Amino acid sequence: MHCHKAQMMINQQLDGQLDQDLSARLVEHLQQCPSCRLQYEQLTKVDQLLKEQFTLVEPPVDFAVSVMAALPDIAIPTSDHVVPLFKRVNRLQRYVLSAAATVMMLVGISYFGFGGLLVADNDQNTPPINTAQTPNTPANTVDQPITPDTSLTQPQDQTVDVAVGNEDTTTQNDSDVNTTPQNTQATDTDTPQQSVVEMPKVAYNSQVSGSFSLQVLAEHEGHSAIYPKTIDGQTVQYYVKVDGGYQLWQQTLSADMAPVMIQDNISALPVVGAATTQTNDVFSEDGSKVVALSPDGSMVAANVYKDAVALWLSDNYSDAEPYVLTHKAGGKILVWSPNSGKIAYTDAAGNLFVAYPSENITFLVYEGVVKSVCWDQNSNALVFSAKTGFSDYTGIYKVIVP
Amino acid sequence: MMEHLADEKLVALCLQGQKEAYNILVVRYQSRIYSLAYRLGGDYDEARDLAQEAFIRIYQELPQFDASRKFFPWMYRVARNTCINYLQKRSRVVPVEEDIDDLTGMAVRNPDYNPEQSFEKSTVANQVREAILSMPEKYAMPVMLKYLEGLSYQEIGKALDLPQSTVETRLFRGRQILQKKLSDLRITKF
Repeated sequence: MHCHKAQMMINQQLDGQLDQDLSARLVEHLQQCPSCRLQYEQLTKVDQLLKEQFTLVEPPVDFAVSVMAALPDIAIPTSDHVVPLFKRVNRLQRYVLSAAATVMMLVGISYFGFGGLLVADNDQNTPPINTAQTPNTPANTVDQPITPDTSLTQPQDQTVDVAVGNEDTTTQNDSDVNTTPQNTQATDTDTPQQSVVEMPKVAYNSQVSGSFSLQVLAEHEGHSAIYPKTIDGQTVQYYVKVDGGYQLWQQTLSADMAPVMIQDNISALPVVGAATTQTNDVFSEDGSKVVALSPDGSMVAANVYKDAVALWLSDNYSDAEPYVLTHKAGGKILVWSPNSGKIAYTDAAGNLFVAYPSENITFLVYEGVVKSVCWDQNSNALVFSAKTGFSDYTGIYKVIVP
Repeated sequence: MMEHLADEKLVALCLQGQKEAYNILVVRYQSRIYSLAYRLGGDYDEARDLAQEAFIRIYQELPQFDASRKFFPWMYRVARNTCINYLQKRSRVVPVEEDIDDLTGMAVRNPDYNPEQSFEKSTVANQVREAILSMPEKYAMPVMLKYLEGLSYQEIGKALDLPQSTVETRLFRGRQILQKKLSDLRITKF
């Protein structure tokens, strides 16, 4: 008998699956093979140990009642354990829609949310409208009072008239925007949307709140490749791909100004955003797509597609197995915040999420096709470029996260 | 009468807003999840919290359940991951003194309590628990179902939607991993 077969038979013996004849043959082999005998002794000890340790334990009599009592405060989310915060608020949505068209679109796009409005908009060639509003200071939005807000259950993007009603209708001509080579058009910033949201701390059975703010910094027409470079307290810089290379643009955050191009004719795109490592070593079994080590070196994250779509996390300092933070993942973006406390990542559809690994929380922060992201150095602001499947604009957005 | 409905049908009813359907699932699987939580958590208080968190998480994750698959392995996996995530976080903040307090309390409650013997027992249990926690899920699940619930190869295969031969292989491999981990942890029996 080969040792490999003997080892499988040891397993069957321990599980009571071996008949008498085979059992006798195994004993015979064990008498002749010290290596298999040692294996048998060790596995038998493991078996005994597990039998001693593992017994079915009955829960307290009121257990099911207490579980059910804990449920009423927790609504079943529509997807994953994710709270949608913002969907794309496209400039096009601000055009005045006729009542009939609005009704038709709302009926037609109830499943797809506000993005569906863009499909129905036949006036996509209308020049962009400059909101001409001074953006709020983003930093102020982070430390809002932590109070429950009923607006949570009524996402802003589900009410069409909100955006229309707030609109400043001053029209901006192309010449007002910028001196834009080729076919690039850029428009300026919007007022940030702001909302207080509940963040369920599932693991600790408690809740905290946080304030999120989403701001459209600029939009470029006809380009899908925009790469945020840096963000600080005053400006955001980003690359825009044009025919034959890239341009570097800058948007001032604190003034009502259109973005300006500060460098042209860049032949190759420099490395932007936080570094991610493209490797399959850590999670090879599941076919990794993007793997990134946290800046402090303590954690490894993997945004995995293929067989097991998930955002995986692993403690880099122990041999504990990786665990799944969420299955709503699988996109090409995975960027740790500089403080290693948050992860920006996308799902397979390109929707942008932020994860808080230590809190076991993920939030959908933007619904659309996100192309590239970049954290600020304080780990509070995330700048990203995004494009919906139906729009001819690519925007630069900033989201403030708790 | 929902009690006789299959798991998957109950999940569908939950997703339609019938919370009583989830109550049936909780009652149906509370022993299994509580036992899992007890083995992973190490004591009854911890088990209660862990099991409750697991059922809450399962409830929250129901929209992600693939209705074409079996509910039990999915539920068991979510429960295990919830427990592990919780314990991993907690292990970073819980001071060692907690264990000592617990042992002192035992001595007060039980005059026949033998601290040395109990400590050794507790240490072995903890090490087995640690070993199980750090095992890859695909090996840990069959091991837990085998030893926690006493299921046969066939029953484990049915529960996990795996061929019997795969169950056998994973149990074999799982034991080998445990044996190695427990040897590394220097359990005296090895």
